[in-house]
Amino acid sequence: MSGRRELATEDAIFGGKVAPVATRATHRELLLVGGPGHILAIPITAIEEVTRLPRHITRVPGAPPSLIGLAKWRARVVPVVDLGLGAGRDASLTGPPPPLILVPFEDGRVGFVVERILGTCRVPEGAIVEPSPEVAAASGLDVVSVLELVPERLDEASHVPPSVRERCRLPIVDLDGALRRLAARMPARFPGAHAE
Amino acid sequence: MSPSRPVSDAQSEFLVESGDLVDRINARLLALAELPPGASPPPETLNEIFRAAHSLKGLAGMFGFPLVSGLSHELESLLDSLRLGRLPLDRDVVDVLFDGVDLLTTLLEKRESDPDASGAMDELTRRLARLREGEREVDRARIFVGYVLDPALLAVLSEYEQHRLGENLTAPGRAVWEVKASFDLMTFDTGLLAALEELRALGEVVASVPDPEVIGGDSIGFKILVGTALDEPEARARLGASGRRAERVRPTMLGGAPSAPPPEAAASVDRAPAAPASPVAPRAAAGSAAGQAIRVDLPRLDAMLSLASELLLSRAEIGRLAEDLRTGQAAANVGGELWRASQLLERRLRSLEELILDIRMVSLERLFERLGRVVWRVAGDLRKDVELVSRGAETRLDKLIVDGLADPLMHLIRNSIDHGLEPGEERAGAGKRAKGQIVLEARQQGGHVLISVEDDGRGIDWTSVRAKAAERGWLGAAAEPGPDELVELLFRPGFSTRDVADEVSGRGVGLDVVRSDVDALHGTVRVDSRRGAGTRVTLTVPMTLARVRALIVGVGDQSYALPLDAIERSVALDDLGALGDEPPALVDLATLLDVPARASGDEPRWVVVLALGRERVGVVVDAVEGQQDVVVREVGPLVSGIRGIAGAAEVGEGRTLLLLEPTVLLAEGARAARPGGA
Repeated sequence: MSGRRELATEDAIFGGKVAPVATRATHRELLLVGGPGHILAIPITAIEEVTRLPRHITRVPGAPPSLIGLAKWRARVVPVVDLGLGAGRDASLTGPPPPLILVPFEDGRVGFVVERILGTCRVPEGAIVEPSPEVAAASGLDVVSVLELVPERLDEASHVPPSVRERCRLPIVDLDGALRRLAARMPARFPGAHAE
Repeated sequence: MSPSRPVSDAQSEFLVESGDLVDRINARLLALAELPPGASPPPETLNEIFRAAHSLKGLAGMFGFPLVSGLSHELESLLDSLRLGRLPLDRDVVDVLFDGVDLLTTLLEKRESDPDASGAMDELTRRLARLREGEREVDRARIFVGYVLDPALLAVLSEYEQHRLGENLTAPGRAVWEVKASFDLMTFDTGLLAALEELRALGEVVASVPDPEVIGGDSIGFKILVGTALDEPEARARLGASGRRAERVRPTMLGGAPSAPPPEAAASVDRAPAAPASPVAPRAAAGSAAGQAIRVDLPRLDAMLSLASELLLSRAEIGRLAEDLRTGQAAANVGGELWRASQLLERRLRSLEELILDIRMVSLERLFERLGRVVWRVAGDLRKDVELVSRGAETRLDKLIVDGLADPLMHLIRNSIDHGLEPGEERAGAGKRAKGQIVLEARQQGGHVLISVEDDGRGIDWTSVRAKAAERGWLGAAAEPGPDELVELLFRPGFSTRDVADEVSGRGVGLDVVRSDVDALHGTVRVDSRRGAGTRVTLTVPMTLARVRALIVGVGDQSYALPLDAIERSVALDDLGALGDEPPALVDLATLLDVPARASGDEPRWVVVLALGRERVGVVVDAVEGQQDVVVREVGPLVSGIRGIAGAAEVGEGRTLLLLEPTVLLAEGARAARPGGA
């Protein structure tokens, strides 16, 4: 695949828009996130920007645990959500803060904290298939489809980062659906407040 | 509802401009609606509406809004008939013009995407056509033949100018003067404008045309026809001042002045007796149909540009220092220079922020004008004689808050006219003035604005409220609710003491909708009513949500912000005696938020007393950490629906705190104060 334009690397991803490169309409681009134990794919078209989790997080009393809190991002404040993708990460550890994937939701944006960005991939539409119940259940997330990284499903225009080549099935997460379900669980008032 | 079509930048500008024009039409229509019965409409007012409709027609056509253009054309035609005296101005005409303005507003707001617009347009066009069927042709030649008028002059007058000439010639107590003035050819435009302005102060300038007798050389002359009520010696002296010559247009010896005004001269405002008078001053205003847009005057834009230039200078200075550091050429005092540059940058950024916050503030004038129209319409529909008095329209608030106040205030005004004000005969029987009064008042109190709608009607029948609440099972038969509890009942969804929702104010919605609208603005609603004397509903809303002075308090391991203007004082929890004989109910913030309070030590806990109007609550916190100006941001999706969070307060260094909503804390306090309350 030498000679073709490479997709964004992790260094290039931070601090900027993750715009899909010009590609054939029959191909999809995905951001691969996670760690050694689990890798998930997120459609790049669903992502507005990838940044780092800000140092200061404001907790929201009464919110479900997956809503970590509010963080300042540029001149805005965004709710930060951990769907388990950044689980096990201790914010007090030294080193760069974990990545934050910003996605549009309703009239604003929401940030998803993830453990690591593994890169982007470009695959033919045919490599994306319906999830089997086992895959969906194993991920514990809202999985809408599965990326099958097997040679017979890839083509000349495909690009897959070396770190995930040996994996043959990656769940593709439905961030919007996950947010809708989280929104339904958000409280209408503070935990100790009385209903009118 | 269909989504509005996307708009280009040019169309956005058009929407702002057209919103101004619609506002101008609306304000002038209100002025016409306020005329006493039988009064002639001021020609300049009619003309202004006509010109605004004409401009709107042209602009809308140019920017691809054919429905707006078409409707403006129809309105323009009707207005032309009015100003030419072919139609009398009566209530039907004012009504159809108001409906036209409503439809224009809808078309603009929905970018002509409303599927119902076409039907509404057809209906309005039919009504306009029906009105215009009553037009009369006017034979002005019959008037002019009775006066000494230069036929060449008459020939160059437009139909409107001829109409105004006829009106001024035949109106009792008025006379028309021909004023001749000449100006230096090089500067005649400014000279003529100044002369016309001077003459307009003395009467109506009917027409101004070049005087063929004074053209050539370095001068140009004009004949200016002026209708005035001044007596002859004064008119001659004042119209003929500044080197002008003034001659009265006199009746001919043979024909004489027509003994009676022609039919069209009798055109007058024929209004229903129930038409309300409203002292809301007509005024062109900014903003409007563009919704999210706001008009910025040029001086403020210039100030922003100037600040942007200064920011670039700051950036260049910091860039230079950074480059010196990078290349090892920094002077010994580079630290000090960098600090000064950073201070200057911060000052400039703050100035820019102040300016932008100020630009967001708009007055209530346009909203009050719209409400004046609501009074006119509702009072007319209900055949009630109503006077609207407005005060404090110049009060300024954040535009988003002003926009959010429109619906609740309209609802309150409809309620007042429909349910509050008695019919004229009932008022007379109660010893009241037959004409009901609604007072719309705004005033600033600290960082909040109080807007009240007060009527001098029958007041709320608390017995009926109690009975209705008991009927719905909200009150036990033996319940003895206090005044505050009775008021609370009014805000229950679905509460109405009317059995049948009527067209004007019923519609199945009540004060609960007003409260939820005002809640969304982080405001409160208060009701004061006295049987037989009237009802006042007061909305208290913050002036802006964009930036506030906040008190930072600590609870558990996190800090929170409270708007300082809602805070009366803070005292140590072990010094409650300092709060006097009537301490407020206490609400423990740690309990409310369900977070652990800080471990008790030597540090005392504090009570922060919040007060809005007569409501008070003492909020118990672990620590009072200080005051600070904070920029308030929206908390974004997921969190914005949590009642009690007014926003995220930026306190610097990337930190944000939750800004707590005082009204929610006050409501918790009120609940705690009730017998058996939490």
